[in-house]
Amino acid sequence: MQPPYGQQTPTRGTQQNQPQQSTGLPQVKGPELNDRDRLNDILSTEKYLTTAYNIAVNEASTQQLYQVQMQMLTELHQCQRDLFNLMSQKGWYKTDPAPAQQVTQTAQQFANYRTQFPYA
Amino acid sequence: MPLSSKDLHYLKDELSWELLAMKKCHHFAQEAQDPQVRQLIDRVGRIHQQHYEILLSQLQSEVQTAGIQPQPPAGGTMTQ
Repeated sequence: MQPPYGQQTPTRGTQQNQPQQSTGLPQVKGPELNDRDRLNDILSTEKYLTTAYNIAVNEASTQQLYQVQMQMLTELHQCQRDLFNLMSQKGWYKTDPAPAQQVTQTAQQFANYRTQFPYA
Repeated sequence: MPLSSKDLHYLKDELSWELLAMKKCHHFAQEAQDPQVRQLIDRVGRIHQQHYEILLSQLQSEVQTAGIQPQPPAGGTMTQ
């Protein structure tokens, strides 16, 4: 159905106007970056930045600076979510479901720990 | 309220990373094959550029309120 991705040399500095069909499949696996790599790399960058903002926010000396950085932190978290969602949609971020038995077991285990609660 | 040394340190760090991020996004958006990937990366890149402007304005307003004299540009501002 879909034409396979050929060896496409990325055009640098110009807008590509050839509409590409989204196959959701990884492109030809070669040494060059593909779209999955690009999304992954941007996501890594966002993760680093949110870490940096997170620390800065904790130590901001003025309320104003705190709020400005907090706002950016929130926006970057949203960016990360959007990146994650697109990768999931493309099938590039597979998650495997936890075994049901282990979920049940864990829920039971931590429900039992309620005996340790200090508050009535 | 003057900026603390720590604030300045973090602002420099953030500005540098925002700049790198916007450049990277711009580059990747042009190379991307899939339109959805291209659009999202482009949108993220624009957010980084906005952030850079906001952070810079924080610095600039500090310069104005504190009346700090601009330093003459030296050959190498990087202190080892």
